[in-house]
Parts: sequence; structure tokens; C-alpha cells
Amino acid sequence: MNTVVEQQLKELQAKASNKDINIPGANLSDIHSELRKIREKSSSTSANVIPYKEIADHTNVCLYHKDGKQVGPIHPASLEETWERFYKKGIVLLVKKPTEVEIEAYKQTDEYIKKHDEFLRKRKMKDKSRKPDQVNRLIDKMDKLIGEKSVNILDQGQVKQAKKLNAKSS
Amino acid sequence: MIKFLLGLFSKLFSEKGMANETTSTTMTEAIPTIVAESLLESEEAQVVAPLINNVAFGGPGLVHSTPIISKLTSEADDSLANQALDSGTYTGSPSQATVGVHGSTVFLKEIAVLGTVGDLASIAANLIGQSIGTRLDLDLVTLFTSITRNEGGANVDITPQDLFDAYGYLRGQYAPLPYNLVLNPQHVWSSVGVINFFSNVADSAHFAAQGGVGSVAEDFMRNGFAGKVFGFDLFVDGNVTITSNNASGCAFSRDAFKLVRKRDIRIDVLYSGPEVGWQVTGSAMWGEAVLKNNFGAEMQFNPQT
Repeated sequence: MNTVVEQQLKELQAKASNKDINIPGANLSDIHSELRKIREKSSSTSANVIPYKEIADHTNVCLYHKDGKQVGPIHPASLEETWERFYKKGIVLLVKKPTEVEIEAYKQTDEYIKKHDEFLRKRKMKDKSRKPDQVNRLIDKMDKLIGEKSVNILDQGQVKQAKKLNAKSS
Repeated sequence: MIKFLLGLFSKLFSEKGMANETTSTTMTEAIPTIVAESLLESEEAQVVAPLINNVAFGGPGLVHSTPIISKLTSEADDSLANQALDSGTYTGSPSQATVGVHGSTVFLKEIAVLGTVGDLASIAANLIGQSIGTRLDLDLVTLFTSITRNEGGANVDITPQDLFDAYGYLRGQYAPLPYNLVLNPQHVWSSVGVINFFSNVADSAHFAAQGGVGSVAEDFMRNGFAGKVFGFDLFVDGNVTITSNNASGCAFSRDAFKLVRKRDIRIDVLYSGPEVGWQVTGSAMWGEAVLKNNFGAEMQFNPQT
């Protein structure tokens, strides 16, 4: 009895897994191709699209330093005032963005080299304030001058050690 | 008995259909796909506007001009032939801001309004309001590079000395307090950011006593932020754009920039019969300019991402 039931179950399972299904003339790439065409056609509806447009009566524009640094974008009516402001500080801004070749050529000029050297000098000084571990180094220097090792009072291990040493010496 | 059972089993497993069988169908057609209200993407808006000089520009005219009056200098020695109080010569130009129209328009199809979960008109108004707010902030933030003084430079990391120098410069120009510092978030929270000045880790520049952090550092470590740092009111603005690993914030006094408002935001709605929908337009009119160049210092630094 069990074998009969098992046999029937196997037949049903085989049919359910479509192993025996055979659609004449169909192959996988045809099916995908037709499905793609269907999706393209069905996406022509645009109920879920919200058109959006920016409104402005002007377009902001940029000026450029000779090394390529951008100023702006700013209102076109402010261009002259901005250019004049930089000119009075000795900086000539360009209306057209310099190309990479032009920037490289500018970086070889005396004007740029002088400015850049001054910039590097200032950065070297400023970067000192960014050096890590300055307090620890200061303490190390003080230890050398005093001839004794300082104790970090927030470090329990060091405090205990120092207490032991003090107890021994006294 | 066996025959009966066989008959029963064959009926139960027969292809012709079973009694008490369970079938199912999908409810896709009845249950809509979108069941939650939409969430609008967020963006940064209106950080800089409250920090600068805001001017209401009612009446005729489109160019708002602010002349600068030279100060009187007091001579140290009043025995000179000239006056003891002398008028200096201001070398800057009057600050001029030209008002322009800014806005955006959205077309709401009626079919979309009827088919949407939630209030689409309200979403459209949010979209427009948000875009105009961001546009205003962007217009102000891009003025930072119009300041001639730059404490940083291309591809350099911010240091405490830069902030000291900026403060010293503004103070030396008699810029009125308070001083604001607007930076890109990456200038503050990154491995090269301001927050490193206060963290008590091996690679930080310690500004705290050995073994402990100061109160500013406590604020940073506890809250991730400190309202004031090195004398500046600190603000972060995501609209400070990053270009080739450089971003330009600014340290400034209120009168460094001006925002001239001709008309505040207004929403106009027009129904279009042929297109079966509403044209929703939001617009505002403003102008912006550098008011006093020496009341600001550009902070161009590397915002490591």
C-alpha cells in the first residue's frame, strides 16, 4: 500500500516541478526579450513623475585664481566689485578657468614660487600647533632636567608604585 | 477493510481534486504596493542667513548699496600742524547687492494627487520650500571664497593656530563680536578635524592637561559638539562644498556679509485644464554680497572623507 501511495506522490511531485512541461518553440532569451519590451512599453505612463524646474533670473558665475582656485559662484553683478577687491590685495583673478597646462606654467613663475614659499613657511609654523603628544614631551623634558620620573596622578599603577618607593626610602 | 482504505487514499491523492483541499490566491490586486507616506530626502538649509546682516529692501530699486564711512584717526601728538583728529581713507568700495528671483516650480498631476498615499500638495510645498532654503544658504556659503584673507590653503589640515590667527585678525580689524565659524562637517568630525584638538588620544594636539580633558573637550566627547571653540560660535553647514578634497568655511563677524531681502517666499498655485494638474510655484527675491571684506577670513582646509 505504501509503495502505491509513494509512487502516486512521486508522479504528482514530478508534474508540480514542471519537469515534463514543454512549450513548443520557447526559449529563455526569447522570454526575457519579450518581458523587456513589455516593461519598456508599460513605463510610458508617468502618473508617478513630478516634473520640477528651477526658476532664476540670473546664473551665478565664478572667477578663478591663477592657480585654479575658484571664487564663487557669485551673482554676475558682483563680479566687478569682487575682482576689484582682490586686485587691491595684489591678486589678479581670471574670468576663464585656467587649464591644467596654464596652472602648471603659472606654478613655475617667480610670483607663484615666492607666494608658495611664504605659504609653506606659515604652514610650518602653524602645523607645530598640531603636533601630537606635546604635553608628554614637555613632561619628559622636565623629568630630564629634574632627574626624576614624574608620576601621573591619574594613573593608579604609577601612584601605587610611587607610594611604595616613598615608603621604602622613608 | 484494506480495499476501503486503498479507496480512501486514492480519493485523497486523486488528481481529480480533493475534498477539503486548500487553495490560495494572491491579494496583490487588492493590497496597494505603497502603504507608507513618503519621506522627503533632507538637506541643509538656512545655516548662514541668521548669522549675517539681514536687510529688508522694500520700495523701488534692485541694487542695495551700502557706503562705508572712513573712521577718524586720533593722532598721538596733537602739536602737529594738521588736525588731531583726521579722517582716514577707506580703500574699499561701497558694498552692492543686486536682488534676483529665486524659486522652483512643480507640476502636480491630478491623477498623481488622487492616487497618492498622503497629501501630495503638502509634499510639493515642502519640496519647494526646502529647495529655496538650500538655494539661499548656497548663495551665502559661496561668498566665503570672495573674502580675500585665507587662513588655510589647498590641501592643508586645520590647526589650532589657524583659529587663533583668524580670531586675532578679526580682532585687529575691530570687527564687532560675536565671531562665527562656519565649517563643513568634515572639518569638525574627521581624522583631521577640529574634534582632534580635544581628544586625549595619542595623535591629537593636546589642549588639555595631561591625563584629562578640558570642558570644551568634555562637550565634544560627551555630545559630539561644542557650541563655542577658541572664541568662535561654531556652526557646521553641509552646503560648504568639497571640491578636490578642499572646502572653504569662514570665520566672520556679522557685518562681513549682507543678505538683502526684497520679498519673502510665496507659493502660487494655478490649475491647468489641458494638462489636468496644478502648477505650484514657490519664489523669493533676495540679493547677497560681501559687506566688509576685512570682517571675515576664509577657512580653506582639507575635509578628509
